[in-house]
Amino acid sequence: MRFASKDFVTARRTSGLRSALVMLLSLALALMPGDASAQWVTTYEQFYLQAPHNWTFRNQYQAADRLFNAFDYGHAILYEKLWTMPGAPAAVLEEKEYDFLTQRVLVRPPRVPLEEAAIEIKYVQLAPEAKQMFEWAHILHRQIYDVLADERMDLSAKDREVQRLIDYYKTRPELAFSSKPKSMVLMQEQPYSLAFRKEYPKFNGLIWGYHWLQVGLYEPLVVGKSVAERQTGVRATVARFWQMLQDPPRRFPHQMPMTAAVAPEFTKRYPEAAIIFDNLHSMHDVISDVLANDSVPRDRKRAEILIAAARYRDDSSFVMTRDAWQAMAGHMGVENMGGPSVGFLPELPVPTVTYGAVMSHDDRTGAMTGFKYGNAVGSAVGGAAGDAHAGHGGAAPTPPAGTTPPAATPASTTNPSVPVAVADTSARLLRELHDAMMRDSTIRARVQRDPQLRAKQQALDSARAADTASTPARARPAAADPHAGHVMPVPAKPPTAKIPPGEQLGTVRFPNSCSADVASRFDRAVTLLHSFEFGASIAAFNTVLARDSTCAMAHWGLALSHWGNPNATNLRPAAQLQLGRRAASEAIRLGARATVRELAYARAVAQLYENYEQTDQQSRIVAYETAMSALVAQHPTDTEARIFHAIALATSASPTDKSYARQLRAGSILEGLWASQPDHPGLAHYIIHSYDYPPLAARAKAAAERYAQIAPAAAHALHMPSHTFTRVGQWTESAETNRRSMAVAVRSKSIAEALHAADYATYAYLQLRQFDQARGILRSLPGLKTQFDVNAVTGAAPGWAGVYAFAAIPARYALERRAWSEAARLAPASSSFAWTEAVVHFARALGAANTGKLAVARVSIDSLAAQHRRLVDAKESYWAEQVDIQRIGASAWLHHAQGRRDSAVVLMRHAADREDATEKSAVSPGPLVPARELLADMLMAHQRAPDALVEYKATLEREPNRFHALDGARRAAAAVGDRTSEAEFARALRRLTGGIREP
Amino acid sequence: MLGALGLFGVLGPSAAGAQTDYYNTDAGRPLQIEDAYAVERRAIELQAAPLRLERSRRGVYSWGIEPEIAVGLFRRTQIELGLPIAVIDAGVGGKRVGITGLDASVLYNLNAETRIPALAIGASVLAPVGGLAAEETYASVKGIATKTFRVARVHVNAQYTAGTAPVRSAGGDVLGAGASELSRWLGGVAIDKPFPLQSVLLSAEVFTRQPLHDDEPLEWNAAVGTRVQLSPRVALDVGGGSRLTGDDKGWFATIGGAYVIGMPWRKR
Repeated sequence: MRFASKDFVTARRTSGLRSALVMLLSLALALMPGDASAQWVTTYEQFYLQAPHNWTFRNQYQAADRLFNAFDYGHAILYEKLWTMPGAPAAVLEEKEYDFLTQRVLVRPPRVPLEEAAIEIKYVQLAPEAKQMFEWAHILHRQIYDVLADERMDLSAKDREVQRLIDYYKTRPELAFSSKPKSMVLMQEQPYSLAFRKEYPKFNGLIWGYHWLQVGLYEPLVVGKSVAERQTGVRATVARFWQMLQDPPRRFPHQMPMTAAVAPEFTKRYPEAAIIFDNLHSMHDVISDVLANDSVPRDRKRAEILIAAARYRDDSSFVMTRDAWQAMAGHMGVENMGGPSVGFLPELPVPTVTYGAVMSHDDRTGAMTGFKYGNAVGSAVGGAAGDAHAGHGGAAPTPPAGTTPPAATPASTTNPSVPVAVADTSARLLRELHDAMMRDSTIRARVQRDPQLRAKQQALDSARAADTASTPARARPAAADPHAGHVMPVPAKPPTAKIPPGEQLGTVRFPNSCSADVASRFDRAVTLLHSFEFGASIAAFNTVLARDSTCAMAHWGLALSHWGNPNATNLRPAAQLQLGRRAASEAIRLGARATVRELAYARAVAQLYENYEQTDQQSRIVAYETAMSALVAQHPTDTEARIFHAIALATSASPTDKSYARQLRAGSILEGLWASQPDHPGLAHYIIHSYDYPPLAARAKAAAERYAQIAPAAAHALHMPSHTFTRVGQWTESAETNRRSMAVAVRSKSIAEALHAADYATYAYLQLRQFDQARGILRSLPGLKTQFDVNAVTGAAPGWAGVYAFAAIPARYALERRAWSEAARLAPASSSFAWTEAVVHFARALGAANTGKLAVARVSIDSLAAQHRRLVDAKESYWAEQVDIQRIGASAWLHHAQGRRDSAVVLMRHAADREDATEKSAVSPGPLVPARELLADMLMAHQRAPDALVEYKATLEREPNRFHALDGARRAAAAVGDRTSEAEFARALRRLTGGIREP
Repeated sequence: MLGALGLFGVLGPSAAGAQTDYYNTDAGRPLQIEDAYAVERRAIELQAAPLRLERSRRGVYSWGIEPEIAVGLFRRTQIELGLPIAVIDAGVGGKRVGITGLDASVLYNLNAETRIPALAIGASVLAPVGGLAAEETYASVKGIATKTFRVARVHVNAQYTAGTAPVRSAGGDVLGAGASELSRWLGGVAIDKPFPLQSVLLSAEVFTRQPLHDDEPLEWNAAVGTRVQLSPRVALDVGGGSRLTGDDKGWFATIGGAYVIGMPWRKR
């Protein structure tokens, strides 16, 4: 029995063992790879840094944190589909998955971070190393959020902890992205590059939207000064992300969001982290391209991914400097990246490039050198009939399928009014954004509490009410309803530029070979050009082309209009240069069939754009002047040629040439012609410009007093005399003419021009000590901001002049009142234009140094140094010098505050001497505070009144009738016992202020 | 009694793996068959009170609590210590409560999955510590493979234990519940299906084992379970199954939770 039992047990066991072995063997065979190419990979996961702040962001900002969980899914499913469904219709991602992501996953995001290996199953098996790199960087991402959201830590503790996180991150060099900026060549100029963005524009836009939020959310956490501000900021940033999801991919970023542009304060504080995240996001795009590009065989995809991964980890190859990286981000344009992530009611990002455009950059400087793919759309209509008018008005190539903006882009190739339509769209989008944000109860409450925000909201409401009242019902966009989901197309504007009745722009006769039917329209276009009404002149030249498409000179006019204000010292953006070059080329093509004279005009204007990728701007300006000079020599009776040559002569002068030889020659030519053409707008206008220098300004008084009468319909004609009034210290006249200019500019939607005039007016009012008037302008800025489009080409003032005014007006208001505490509290705003940022840093530094906030002063001076480096790298030599002068001046006041009197004076004098050696830009009525006046103030503070008096007098030579220089001189004269001078300065002050006493 | 104690065999205190992440399965939490991945490096996972209830066909209930700590001390390596405690309804003899041994184990993941499945090897020692422990030390080795398909993951485990069969009591029961949990060999397969948006894993397994005593019949077991990620730090598991063959058929249920923290770190 026992045997029987044992046998039974043995038999049963043997049978079971056999079954088990068979099963395991079968499974093992099934699990083993089918070919020899399988890879042995030993990467592994590592836990995040244990710390008290773990998961704080999740607890404090649940909604935002959950979105990140949703992003996990989006990233993972993308790679999985690209890898497992080669050749599948684009709709699989563009519709099915996109809809699922946006209508389900983002709306009801997962409650915990996702296990991506459970989603991207096959992709993980393809390249587990790359997956681990992403995970490791995502851990850093999330942990930095935790630190910044942890209210128990002060700022310095947060700084230390972020550094600790980065150190921990770097303990895994086999996974860590380089913390050195990587060239965009890796992402955009590889054989496989761009495949994903071209084939899947919606999904690509969504990924860029993810990345925008992932880096953008740091910004409100860094800039928020209180818990409430941080919470409100995060909500607002999330609200802006939701805006992007409307009408894809139009509102998605058109470029990979760069942390330096989207979250500049975060970048300044934690540059290493910002670089790591940019490298991370860049490699995200690389893998998408490798997977999406059929030209990479499937058996090469893993190898390509690993090559890219190695490059992104490596610190020595494809590396840019930090400054170049920041400059590159600036050149790419934050408006092309979804816009800045913070700011209440900021201007909506209207991209200036076509979707997914590839800008090539000089890796040493970050400067943009051209387009490798796509194009600019940033400024008004394009040059050639038949190619222009897409998007923001540029000559866009056919965008990827599905990317054509649905609103305000009629197919007509002769529609000159697209910028207006785009502006309408921008305003509407702005309102939608506003509405989305205002649906948040916290934001709503904050707006109600804050008088400034309340005023902004009221301005917006008023604008809306006005629009509703004036817009015919059928033309009113549906999206004006704050609850409407999508932007409805705006009816196309009429295809011709309307000439306002009674329009007075002066008289110009410009004979040419174009059809006689367009002669009057052409002349009108040139009058607009002479008054720097560039938006209107572009429209007018296009109107000419609509009636005579062979008119070479209309293309010449477009090319010159696209150049913009010839006095502007900044480097023209590549987008603008592309438009200009295209127009010039067309002018040459048609000019060859026209007349020798017209061909010479065309060839001359082409010099402004000739090989701009390699040739510096000043050389091109000089080449243009030379070509115009030759034209004049060949056609001496052509007065228009002489006029255009004269302004070219004046603007090609070096800012350090104190003989003013070119300007005097230009003035002489213009004055000679003015007698016979007293109503010519260009003559009076250019005389003012030619003599817009302290020693020459008096020569322009007659032209200044006349120009506004010649062309009162042109906002710039009303403003321009104030350049002379400012030079000679006629503040009342300056304020008055700028007030009129502002009114005309606002009516004609030339907001940059209005802001430029507002800056000049503010300066004048502050000299007159009419603070109420200045404050009125200050308070109008939020309203203007809602209408402002930095990329719009409208009047003489370029968009950046508007940005400058936004920065300068509050700074002037504080500094001219010597309200140092107020100056120290000015909020720096990041900008693509470093010199506008510098204005605020300079004011802050002065304010902080004069109120004992030395740490703030130091930070501001460092910021000035950073902006200076940006400008040097960008070859913006004029502005680099100006900012460096500011830096030195601010440093002098820091030394003064530290009691280092001798070095303070040395530095301040150095700044003053350098400022004397240069000229102010036309964008500004004058330095924020003249360096020599600051030197005099410092000497007074050091009880060196005799020296101070000398400097005050020197200041008044260059900046006549400045209040502070006069007042300082009076005090200095009193201190040295010079009663005569004291009385003289006192009388001047009474004349200036009408007896108004200092508050 | 033997059957009651034998039920613990499916629990396998020598099992390695204790990942909190719902996707990284852990032997016994809830299924016996686990995946080939170790706990994350620098992670410390605490399983404070995972409970297990078993009922044999004879109506004997057993409870077990298995506090464990798993540490990702080295790359792809986890070291684990467990101190299983059993509460056994001993029938006429009354209840027996005690520690069934001190279990120390190591799991070493050999590779990440590519076309090659993820593979791991493990070793464990069950030391005679506690009132219900065996009389001698047992050492086990284990091999694990995980392969992921689009629809599901498959895990294959095989385990062998060295050591003499424990002494039986006069009544035939194995002396020492710890030893009764061990298998001379064990092999099985599990399949799991993740629901990534919900962070939920559903799994099922079949495995067979040979108890240490050669004369005991092979046991075939089947079970199902789920793991849910409750928060980034906490995972919950629930499972249940049945012993289909063997001398002591019955069912079992398990529920547990794990909490994970990281090891302290300081820059050198």
